[in-house]
Amino acid sequence: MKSFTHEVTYKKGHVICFVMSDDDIQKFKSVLSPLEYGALQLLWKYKKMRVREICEHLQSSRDVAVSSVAVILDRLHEKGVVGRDVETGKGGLRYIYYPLKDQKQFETSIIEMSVNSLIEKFGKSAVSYFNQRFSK
Amino acid sequence: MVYCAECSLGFFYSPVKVGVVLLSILVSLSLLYILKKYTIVDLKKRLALIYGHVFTLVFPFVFFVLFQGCQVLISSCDGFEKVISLLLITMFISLIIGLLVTPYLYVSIARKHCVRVTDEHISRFVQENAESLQVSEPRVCFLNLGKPIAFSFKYFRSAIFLSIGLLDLLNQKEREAVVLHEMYHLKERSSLYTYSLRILRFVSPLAFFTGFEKEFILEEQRADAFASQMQGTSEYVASAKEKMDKYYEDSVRELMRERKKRKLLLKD
Repeated sequence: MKSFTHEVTYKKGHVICFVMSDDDIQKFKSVLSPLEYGALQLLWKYKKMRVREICEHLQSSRDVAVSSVAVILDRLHEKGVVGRDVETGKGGLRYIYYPLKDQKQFETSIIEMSVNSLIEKFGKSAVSYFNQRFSK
Repeated sequence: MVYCAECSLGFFYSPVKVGVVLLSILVSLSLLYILKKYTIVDLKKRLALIYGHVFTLVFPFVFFVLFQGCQVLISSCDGFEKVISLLLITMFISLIIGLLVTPYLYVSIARKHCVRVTDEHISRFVQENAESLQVSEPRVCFLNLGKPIAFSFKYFRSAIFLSIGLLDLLNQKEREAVVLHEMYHLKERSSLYTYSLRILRFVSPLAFFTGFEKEFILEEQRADAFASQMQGTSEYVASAKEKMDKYYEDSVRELMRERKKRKLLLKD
């Protein structure tokens, strides 16, 4: 399958600018940094991308270095949010990143994580609160 | 079982054994002193001093452990002949561990991360430069790691290790600069030297006080100068280093940010 990433031209005019809405920032603030969210948003849209491609896209809306993008992608990979494969291309070997969960699945996993953490902290009180809340 | 203080401390009652241990520590300190005090340019001599120091420092421990084991098995390990045979076994074990097992583990751990892929440009570049530098062509292993890492090592066959994260970060000329840097280490056999310095730092607590850090820096500077000379410019070496430094700075910043966030969440 030929993905969009191979057709991307690095002219600023052709790059789609991604700006996060305030709602999105608030929603993911506790788990992702704005840069992490920006990269993830691009991966959700284009499915497979290289570090430099993600960086080029992000650079259209902010000043960001390739190293910063490489760091956050490596950390997202360590956290199991994104996957990566080694690809041989025209410029040599490189990683190609892809999301392991789509936006909806990712949101669900954050909710699950938060709920689990509340149950862990407050035990029965949290469970009875949820029962009360959802029975309404 | 009756506890016998003299049996467990018997080692220290024997003047021969204590003499051997003290002599070994004395030799070890002397070798470290020579290494630190005199400017020895010959790499082989420096390596001999490093391994001599490590060997004589580890020797008393292995000797003691073997003696204790011997006491348990044979009940008596006294007598000139027995001490000599223990000494020979100790030397043999120390040599095997120091010269064969440790480098083997070092290389095999690195190889575990290698992916079976080739980069035509880098392979061709390595081949061409190996011919012009008149060194045996090293194998290029690509590490499946996101962090930018590059190192070389010679264990029977020389090899250059480059991480995919490094290739992601650098352009073609910068990658060539890194490869040339590593080829200098292989050509001058300094990869073994820097590896040995690492072992020294790890094994000998005394080396911590001798300022061997600057040895690493000097060796790296020589390799950088070589790469710049080969490329006819220091531009690519400098930009590659800058990008790698930036990566690690960003990495630390990101880690601190996450820790801070975790602390805030715990407070909440």
